[in-house]
Amino acid sequence: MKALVIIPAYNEEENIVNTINSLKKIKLKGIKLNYIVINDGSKDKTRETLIKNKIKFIDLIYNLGIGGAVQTGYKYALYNNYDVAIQLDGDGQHNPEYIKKLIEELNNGNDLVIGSRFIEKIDSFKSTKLRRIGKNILSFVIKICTNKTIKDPTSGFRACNKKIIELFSKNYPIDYPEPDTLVIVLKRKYKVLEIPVQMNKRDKGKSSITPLKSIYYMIKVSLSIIVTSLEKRSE
Amino acid sequence: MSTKLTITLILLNIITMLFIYHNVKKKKIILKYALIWFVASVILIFCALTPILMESLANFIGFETTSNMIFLFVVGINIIITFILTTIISNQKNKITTLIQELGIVKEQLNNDK
Repeated sequence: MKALVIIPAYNEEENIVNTINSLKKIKLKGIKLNYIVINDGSKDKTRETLIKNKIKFIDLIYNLGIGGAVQTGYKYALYNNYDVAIQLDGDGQHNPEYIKKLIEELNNGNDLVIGSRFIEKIDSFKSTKLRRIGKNILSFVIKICTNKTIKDPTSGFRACNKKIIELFSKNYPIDYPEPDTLVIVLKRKYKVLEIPVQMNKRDKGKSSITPLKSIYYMIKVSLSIIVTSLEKRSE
Repeated sequence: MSTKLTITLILLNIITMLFIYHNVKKKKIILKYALIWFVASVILIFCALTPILMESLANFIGFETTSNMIFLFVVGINIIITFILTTIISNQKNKITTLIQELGIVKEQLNNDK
């Protein structure tokens, strides 16, 4: 089995090497684990860092945003015939040790497995309260639209099988894609599972979501979820 | 509708059409996208040339003056054009996104082959 770890990176010159190093330590039985970094038009020295450390990466000539970057990874996985794709943030928040568990759950018949932040002890962000409220609202909207409970809809730590790789390479929202993609997947009756993971504090650098942005984010994502859920399945 | 307004409308529309035509000729605008402007100008010239028809139409709908109705026409046409532009922009954004993604993948593949 071939598995690809997709690592979107925007201005992550300080974190990306550590992320790759901790990822390289992971060895899985019977699975060929490759990775690809998507350099999303970073303005800092991310590109130079990647070249210097001989890290495999795709260079996007302009910044596309997280959705466009991640979708590039899914297309790459599709073109190169991968069986499994795992999404992992380049900033070191996601612990690669959980990849094993994510893939195990895929083998148990799930189509998409999400690493979920049930345990928030070490997840100490400045806007934790605001984030939690936002997360609950999104969970609620998804619940209404799909009748499924997803406790951590914004988690970008997830693994999926070939069917979902194919779906995502055709159909992936550009801006804030995580909650939206869940609706796309759930509406098509694929099996989604959440497993608890611990997130690390961001090593360096700032989170891209500020309080003011998050209000705009909430409105946009909620609307987007509703529109997506009303979409008729064309395939 | 006063004769003055009729003449102004016709003149302005002829200038607009000439301007659009000039730009199409210089290949600054794709003909496909210029058509909507031509159609808009033709509609407005038609309005200007048929003041009696316009007047009775305005009366029928309930406008106080015919010019009010014409202004509403113009605003309406502008909204339609803006909307069409939005769809064109969205379409192009999608295409550009795909281009950037595929270019990135091709570049990676090229590096592998070296």
